[in-house]
Amino acid sequence: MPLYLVQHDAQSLLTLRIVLRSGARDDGEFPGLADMTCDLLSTGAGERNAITFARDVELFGADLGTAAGRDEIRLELGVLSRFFPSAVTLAADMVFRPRFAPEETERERKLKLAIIKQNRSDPDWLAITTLRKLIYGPTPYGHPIDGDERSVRSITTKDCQTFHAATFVPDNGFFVLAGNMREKEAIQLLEEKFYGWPGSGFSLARSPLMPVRDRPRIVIVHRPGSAHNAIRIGRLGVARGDADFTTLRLLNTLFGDYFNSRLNTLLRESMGYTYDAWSNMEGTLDPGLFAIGTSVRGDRVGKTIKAIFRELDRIASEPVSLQELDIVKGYISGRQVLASETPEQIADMVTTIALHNLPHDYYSRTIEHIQSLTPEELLGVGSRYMRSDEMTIVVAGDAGALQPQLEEFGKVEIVDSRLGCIRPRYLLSHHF
Amino acid sequence: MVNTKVCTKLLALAGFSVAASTVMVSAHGDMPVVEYEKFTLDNGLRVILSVDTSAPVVATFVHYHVGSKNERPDRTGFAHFFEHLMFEGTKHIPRNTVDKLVQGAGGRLNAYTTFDETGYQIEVPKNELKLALWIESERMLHAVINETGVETQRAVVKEERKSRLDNQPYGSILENVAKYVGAGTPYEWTPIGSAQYIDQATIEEFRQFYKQFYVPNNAVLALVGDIDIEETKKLVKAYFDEIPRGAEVKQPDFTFDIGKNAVEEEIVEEQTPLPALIYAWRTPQQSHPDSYALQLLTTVLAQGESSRLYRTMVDEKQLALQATSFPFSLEKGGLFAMLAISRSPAQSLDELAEELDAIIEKVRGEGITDQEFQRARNQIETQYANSFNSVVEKARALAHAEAYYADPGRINTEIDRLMAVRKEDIQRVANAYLTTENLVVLKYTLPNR
Repeated sequence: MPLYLVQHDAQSLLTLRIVLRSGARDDGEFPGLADMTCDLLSTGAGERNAITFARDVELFGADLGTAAGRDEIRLELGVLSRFFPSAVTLAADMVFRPRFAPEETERERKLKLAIIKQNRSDPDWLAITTLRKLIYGPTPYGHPIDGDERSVRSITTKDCQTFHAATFVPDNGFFVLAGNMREKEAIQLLEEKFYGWPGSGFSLARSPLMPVRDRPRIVIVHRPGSAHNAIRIGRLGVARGDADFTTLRLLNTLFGDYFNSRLNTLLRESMGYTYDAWSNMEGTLDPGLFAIGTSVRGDRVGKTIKAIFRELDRIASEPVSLQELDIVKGYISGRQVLASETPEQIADMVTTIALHNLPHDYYSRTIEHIQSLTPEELLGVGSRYMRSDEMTIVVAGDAGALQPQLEEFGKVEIVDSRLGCIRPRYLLSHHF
Repeated sequence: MVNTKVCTKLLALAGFSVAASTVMVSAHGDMPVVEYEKFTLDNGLRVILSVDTSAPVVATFVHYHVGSKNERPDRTGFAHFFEHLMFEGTKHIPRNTVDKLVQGAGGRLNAYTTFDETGYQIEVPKNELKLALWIESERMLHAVINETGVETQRAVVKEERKSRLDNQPYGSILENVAKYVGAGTPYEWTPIGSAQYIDQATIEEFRQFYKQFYVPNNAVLALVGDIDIEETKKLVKAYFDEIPRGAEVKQPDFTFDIGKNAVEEEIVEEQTPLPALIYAWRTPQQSHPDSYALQLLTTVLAQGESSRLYRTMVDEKQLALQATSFPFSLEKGGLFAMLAISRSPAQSLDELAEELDAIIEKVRGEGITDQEFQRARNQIETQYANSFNSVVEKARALAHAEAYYADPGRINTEIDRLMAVRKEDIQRVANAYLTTENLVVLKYTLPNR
């Protein structure tokens, strides 16, 4: 198992990260399985039950936890360097000897169901969850990482144990150690603590996932009496490894991913309609979600969407000015400098490089690539990915006020906060 | 300069052997003791410079000693509104270009408003230091306050309120806690304020507010990063020296008595998904020695899964979805709050109250264990080690320490004050402040649907 060291001698902290190349994308028929498995790892391991485990971790003032992402699972230990040798034993216990006590599964299950219930009252959550579901359907990127009620009710302890056994294996990941350490001692310690971690012959027999190729849709998530309206507009983006990724990323920044973006300048600064308006592009292993988001008053939803569509069409049909392009290039390059200040930030970069099998100089190459991009190249990518007529619209708010405004854009579907009746109309293909 | 190197190794796990090492990127980090230099310009602007060569970056932080507590009760929201106006433009910086300038230079900027202060931060690659200084001096000398900017920001602030407060579950907690815990003082309203006052105010009132508070003698400029001290001093003088001193700023004079302040209120809001219970008490101001013991107390009660609130209410009894506690330390007073959100709509708040009461009674009666004490100290030390990771965090901390204590060096000794708290102090402050006579109870119940 590879180990990446980020040596940083003027800090009194050390962070160990174990990254496994499995995540919510591997949930299979149980959305939330990876997440539930991760949560259970903190509820007792080795000789310790949930309470004594948490107590002993926190006694060192340490943070130790596991979290599932779409493509990866991260176990992370952050602790004062002097406590590292003791605290790392607890991390190894989580990897080797999790207890998976059934009563803890029930406890976590109840907690998760209550959190999902709480989420359903949040308009932003409702809108983005619906958009995701419309774009991906039942494919691995289509559900919230923490699952849904139906699935969370049915996941068993055994399911989590099986998932753990299949994914927590040394041939499925890598270590990153960042902070204040003596290199030799640190390596020796990790070898000792993780010695004998059995491999599994694990192989990633993974076909690329094929999301729903559907016509764009318009959906209202009805929240009676909602004071505010969360708008999410989006479509399928590209994978991090795609040749268009960096170009699209620059375009996304210019369009909606920094304060001076066209979207924020228009909706916040010129129209005063919203506190913020943004767009976001995921950098996942398979094509991620491209989403635009904002929140506005009930009577302004139609006008806001029109304004967003005008901006999309402009990006898709007109070259950007060199002046605007220079600002964005400067912004992205400077951000890169600001984002490599701390050992944790470097560890994040190393994680991305290793997880996506990118070249070691990926970050500097990306900056060079960005500096070289021309308005013509951007227009080429913009015309392929940012056309308004390919966007799906979701608004969470009161349907009474919203429906007439949205009907201008096409046929409107209305669902309630359980989102139960949202189904993709058809699937072209789905391999998993 | 501190070097960070990144290399790749293969761990000798299950038969693998140690392999190649590649140096890839370099980065750097925080120093255990923050050294600094401090000087004051003739116009009263206090300046703190600190060298940190970790990365080729520099951060400026301007602290204006004006927050919501400086507002009139019929003009709440002014300080926060100003934070927005200061991005509108200045005499030499056209409207909507402040952000473009900073972001185009590869930097980032932000601002915030609290009960006590308004803070502006800019981070840029070190060769763009002049840009940051120019922007901050422009904002201090001649921000443009006109109808266009005011109208736009009126709308933006209303939207901010809607999306952050009015439409969020429990979004009104801070407003309600402030209203009852701060009753009778300028802490009874929050920085976001009330929209109608911003609508009622005239342009002249906004200009007056700027003239009164945005003056060099009411500000601290901290600058941290890869800088040359002597050269930076010259630059700071060049940009800020000519700004005229303003009239002396009088801070509101009031006492935040810890007395009999008990209230119980029920709050019904459409967006409340689950019942919630909030307990809050008045506590002393941030400079009071007891504020450190209260920080340790909140760590024992609420930090991590082995904390008392989590263990009892979330884990063992499964009454709460979430149970936490937070202290709020301000210039003239503080508060200590506990929050528990019910596990289910049917869960009675009386049961949550019973549990909270028992937890408080126990810490008041028996204090904390040796193990809890040790845990809290280690957690605090870890937090402290994490707190000066970036140049902008250092700049903010230095400016803060200068503004309230006239001693930037205080950031290096804050950990000593925390470590000096004794185990028995924690029980003592629980008894002194977490009393029933001083208790504000807020019950968020479900609307009838």
